Amino acid sequence: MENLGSLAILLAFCAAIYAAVASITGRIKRKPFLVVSGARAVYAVWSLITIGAAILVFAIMTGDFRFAYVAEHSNKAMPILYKFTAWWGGQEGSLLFWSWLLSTYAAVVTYTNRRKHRDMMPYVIGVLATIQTFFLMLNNFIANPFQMLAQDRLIVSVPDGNGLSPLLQYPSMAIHPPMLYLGYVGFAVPFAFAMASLITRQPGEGWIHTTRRWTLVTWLFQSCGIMLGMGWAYHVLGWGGSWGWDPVENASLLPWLSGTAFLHSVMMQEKKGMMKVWNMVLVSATFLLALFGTAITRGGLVQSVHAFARSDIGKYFVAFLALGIAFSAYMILDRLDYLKSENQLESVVSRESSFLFNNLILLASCFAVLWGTLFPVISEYLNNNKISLDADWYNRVMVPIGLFLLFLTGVGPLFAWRRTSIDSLRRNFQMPGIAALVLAGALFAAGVHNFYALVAFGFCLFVALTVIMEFVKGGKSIAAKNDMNLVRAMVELTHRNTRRYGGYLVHMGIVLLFIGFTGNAFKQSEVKELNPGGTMQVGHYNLKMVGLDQSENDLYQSHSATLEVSKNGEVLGFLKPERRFYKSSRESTSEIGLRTRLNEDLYLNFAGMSDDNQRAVIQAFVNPLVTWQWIGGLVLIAGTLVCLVPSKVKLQYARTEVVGYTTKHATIEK
Amino acid sequence: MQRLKSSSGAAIPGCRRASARRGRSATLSLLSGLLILVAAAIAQTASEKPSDDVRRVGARLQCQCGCKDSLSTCSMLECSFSKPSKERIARMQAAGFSDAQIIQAFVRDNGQGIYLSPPSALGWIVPYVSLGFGLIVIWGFVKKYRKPKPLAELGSAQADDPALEQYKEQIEEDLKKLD
Amino acid sequence: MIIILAAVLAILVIAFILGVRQKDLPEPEPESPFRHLDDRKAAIYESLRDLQFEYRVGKLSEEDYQTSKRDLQKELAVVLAEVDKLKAQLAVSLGVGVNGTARPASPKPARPAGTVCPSCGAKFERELKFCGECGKPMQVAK
Repeated sequence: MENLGSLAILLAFCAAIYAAVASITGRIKRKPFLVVSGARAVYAVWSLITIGAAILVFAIMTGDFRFAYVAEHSNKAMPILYKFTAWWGGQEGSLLFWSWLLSTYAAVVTYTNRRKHRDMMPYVIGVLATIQTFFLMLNNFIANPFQMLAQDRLIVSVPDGNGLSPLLQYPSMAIHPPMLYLGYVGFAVPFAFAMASLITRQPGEGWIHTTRRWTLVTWLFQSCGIMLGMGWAYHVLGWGGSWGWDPVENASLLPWLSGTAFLHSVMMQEKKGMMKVWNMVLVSATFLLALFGTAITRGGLVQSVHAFARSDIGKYFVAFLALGIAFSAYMILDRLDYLKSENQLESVVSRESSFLFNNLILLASCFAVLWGTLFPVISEYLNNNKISLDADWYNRVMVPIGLFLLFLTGVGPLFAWRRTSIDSLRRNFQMPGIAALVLAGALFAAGVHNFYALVAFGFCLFVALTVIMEFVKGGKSIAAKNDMNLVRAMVELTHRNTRRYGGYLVHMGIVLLFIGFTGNAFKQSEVKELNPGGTMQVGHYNLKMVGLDQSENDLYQSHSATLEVSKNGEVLGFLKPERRFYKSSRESTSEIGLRTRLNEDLYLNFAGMSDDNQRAVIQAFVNPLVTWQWIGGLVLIAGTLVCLVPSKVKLQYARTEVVGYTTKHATIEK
Repeated sequence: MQRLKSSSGAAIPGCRRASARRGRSATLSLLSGLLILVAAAIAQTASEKPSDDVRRVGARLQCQCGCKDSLSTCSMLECSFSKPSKERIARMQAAGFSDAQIIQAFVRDNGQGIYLSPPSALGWIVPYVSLGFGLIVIWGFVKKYRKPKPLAELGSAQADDPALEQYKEQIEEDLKKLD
Repeated sequence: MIIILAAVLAILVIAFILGVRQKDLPEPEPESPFRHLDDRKAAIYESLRDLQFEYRVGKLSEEDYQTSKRDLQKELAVVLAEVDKLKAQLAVSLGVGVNGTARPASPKPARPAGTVCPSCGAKFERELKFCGECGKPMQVAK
């Protein structure tokens, strides 16, 4: 078994090298045989890694504790779902998972483009196969998941394994890593297309259509991954928040931010043939940041609470990153003539400039997060001064930047392409601007004196109104023309240009997210040691402990408290926070007690027992508006899905026909 | 956001076939040591989830258990250093000591190396300087690509454009097809 | 047993990768040399349509609409001119009839003014206001 698994990934390694070499040589020497067999090698790599992964998963499922990996990351008592997730629960397995996802992407890309981009595809395969080779190198020689436990050169087995970290035994944690990895890995595809278009000097922007779609898919996965991670942190970690600016969290945010910048600035290239160099830089940066993120998560490049394996794998990532930076920088610099801008800016007050600012802010926030992640390392290296950045630092740096970004989200779509006169601006800004000011004023009068919160709520309303206006105005126009009701007209409108109106939905999701974030400004918390019968107060809630229980099963021992929640003397219900201690991994987890409402959450965490083991330590939080964060995440994901639906209206027009060339009528899909 | 803790240290993940045994025995001794603590572990104090006040002070002190984290972020369960230290901070705070006094006490006991300074001005300046730099880049971009305004004849240009005239008919025709 | 399995796996993989038969090779499918121009054309038409829509829903002032529309039409004219130029070139080099559905049977248009410098005779891909070689104005004032 283990030998077959090792062989499969070793063969995959060879096939990946072959795929890279054959595709590129085949393309340069114009040998169709090599090109085709290179493409086939991509499918072979996928099949081989799948076999390897299947063997590993089988070993985990059957509890084959001769495998070092299985003994370390699973045990007999684990439910079957979490046994499966143990595949990516540890270093070796997760790197194999990375490889497998990359090979899946490569196979899908190769298959879907088998008749498209003929001259470019060999290079796309070449780039993807090179990245694949790197990861398979790690799988084979650095972090091999098929290592056995050995004693005096004899393979031995242990009776039971350590089990997966109980923190990860949570449903959203089962899908969070795959989503995030799909995001990280997927950014390799746009990168490969960008590099291939540079190498072949593709005329026109045809390749952009393919790339943009892949970026959007990847971005969707990355967003899902980040949202799931936030949800997990909130519901499992028990500290009452969802984002702690931990290096690993930051790592997932970095490619997301630069990817967002790319999705916006690529419109400049499509519409006007401008900013080509910049877009290349963004595509490359996004992929490299995704690699960097993997290095942080997997390699302990930056010390983090959560980057678990402190192995030496980081240096391989650093080397590969350096190679990637050098390659993409060389390609871009060498092809500057090909990337020349085709157009000019008609006016400073235009959609074009709003994109410039949008990119500036997204990149600045990306840089600030990167800086915060690396600053302690740099500082210690430079002057041996040990520092630590806490969440507070990030909040102070990021809140102003984030608010400005929110503002641009609303303003950008109000500017017209090319030029916008004062008259046009007035038409679009007047109503939402006044409404936002009125809201901020009203909130101030109502006693909200937090400056950032006032600004945030004002901007949120502003952006929400501009988005709604877009839908209503467009809907009305279509409704009048086609004689349908407004709701149907708005659906029709969205269907006609899914990319734009899906984008607006994403903006709406961002607004809701910001509403949720702003709630943090009004967070209240309280800690108290309680006896049964004891009471505490948090916000306007009264909590009374009515029971303190202990229990035990095969997996864990647990303590739980039952608290009666009341407000103004009226009993609202009972919450039962629990603390579990997992036996095999000797880790404890919290099962929080949560009362979710649209306006606020009551969040109870059983922090532990007091020193004398008599009283329960209960942490209580009132988190206003948190639910909007999750709703915003869902809207954002729905909006992205809408973007991916092909638009209904297709431009049907006659292609220029040439005798001897294709004579089909072409359909341009947006 | 892959939050993972390897509770048995890095002994197993890095093992080669030959060193597996050594790694295993190291794990086992660590394990037996921890087993003693299991009984106490369930009775964890509030130090496992420190309050914001403890966390604020703990962020300025480096954990001495061998990890590179601060006291507040050390993830080791039953850490021999961070756990009692967090309790000590909480006790001193309850007794009315200021943050500086608490940090001083720790420095006295453990040496200057324990102190983690807050980010220097550089930490603040760099992100905003980069923002300013970006603004300059945009200014340069706009300057470079700004279309020069046609001097006076803004209105008359449309009639004089021979290239446009030539294709106008065709464009209009195609445009009609679009709707 | 395991050795046989391993050998079978290795042989299968090699056979799959290298066993490319003649009929598996794709037929060379020439791409239209006009593709990128057609794409560009489509993008501009799309922009025009957008512009019309935004104007209709009242997001744009009349003046902005007219100016932007004229600009787009100008850009379109440049692309169409390039299409005609490429067609003429192809007709010469291939020696076959080129048949554009867009402008059927139109004579090869003269190079639009603004692409050849009247002062020094330099030729440019697109229309310019000032010559990139000698810097003199390209269009004779009317």
